[in-house]
Amino acid sequence: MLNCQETSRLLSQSQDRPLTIKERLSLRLHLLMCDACDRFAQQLRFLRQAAATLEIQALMDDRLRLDERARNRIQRALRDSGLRGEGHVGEGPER
Amino acid sequence: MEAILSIVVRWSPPLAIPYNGFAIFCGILFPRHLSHNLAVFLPTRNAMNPSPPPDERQPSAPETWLDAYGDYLYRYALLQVRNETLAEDLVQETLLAALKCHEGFNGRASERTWLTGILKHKILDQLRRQYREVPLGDEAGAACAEEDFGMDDFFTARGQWAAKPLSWNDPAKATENALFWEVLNLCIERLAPKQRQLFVLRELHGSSNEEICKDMGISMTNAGVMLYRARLSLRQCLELNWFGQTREKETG
Repeated sequence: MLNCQETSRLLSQSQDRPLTIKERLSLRLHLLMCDACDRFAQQLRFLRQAAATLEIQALMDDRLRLDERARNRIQRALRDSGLRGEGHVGEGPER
Repeated sequence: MEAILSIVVRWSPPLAIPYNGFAIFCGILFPRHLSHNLAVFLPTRNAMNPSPPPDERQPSAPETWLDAYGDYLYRYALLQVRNETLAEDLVQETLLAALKCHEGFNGRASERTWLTGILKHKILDQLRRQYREVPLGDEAGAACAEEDFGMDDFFTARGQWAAKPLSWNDPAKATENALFWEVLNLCIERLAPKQRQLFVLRELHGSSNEEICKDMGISMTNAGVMLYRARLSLRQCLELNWFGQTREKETG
């Protein structure tokens, strides 16, 4: 018989690997009897969806931008490496 | 809405095959399975921009990359490293690497997808270095963690919930609130660094456990334990900081 800790661990693992039949059966049996773990299972699924959505949101977040200083630094690095020719980044003579 | 998005994000079409050719050309040692990772980015682009303009498929001048993709790459790096300077450095490294071998870009995927693939490679490189410096421990260490070392925050000695998960009031509605996403972001930020890195790779970028373990050089058991802890912490954090307070928020 699984306890809540073992159940929650299996629920987490079920998001990363296929469970064995034995694991699935004992999981289902526990979830039938335990509201707290059943809620945990739902919340794990929600967390997974939310995390995937969060990535999309973060990548579209216009407030996050390279600032001017960083932009100039990168632009300079790109120009320098272009001058030194391809395949020799970091090997050219330093001024 | 988020159900659809998550399906779209997890959708991995076999479109990334050309990257193998590119990787060989560049002489960058892309692990072969990375080409599978790259597929993850295509749906993201599709979700944001259903029909990319045709010119996106033509290689553009390297000088334009920073303006065109700099912010996007920066955001992507920031998700993982959570440090502005580090993220800026990663963008720079990525563009320099791209400049060195941009002829390998065959125009079959968007330039942004190609650049993101290089960035992801750089991020994994950096994480791997970090993990090498501070070993996570071998199987014995993982087994120790498996014994639920440090789990007493969540469970009693008899394996019962220390604080039972409460019923959450309408999670779908929470996702319509911009503040909810800030809270989730803060909760992720507050995870222990390794848990956070694994969680972001696994759940935000949609990498498989096999990929993560291979790239980080950690055991599946170890990764599983850390993801488990991350999920327990995040669930608790959301309950304490969002779902426990929904009622006050709505009346306020």
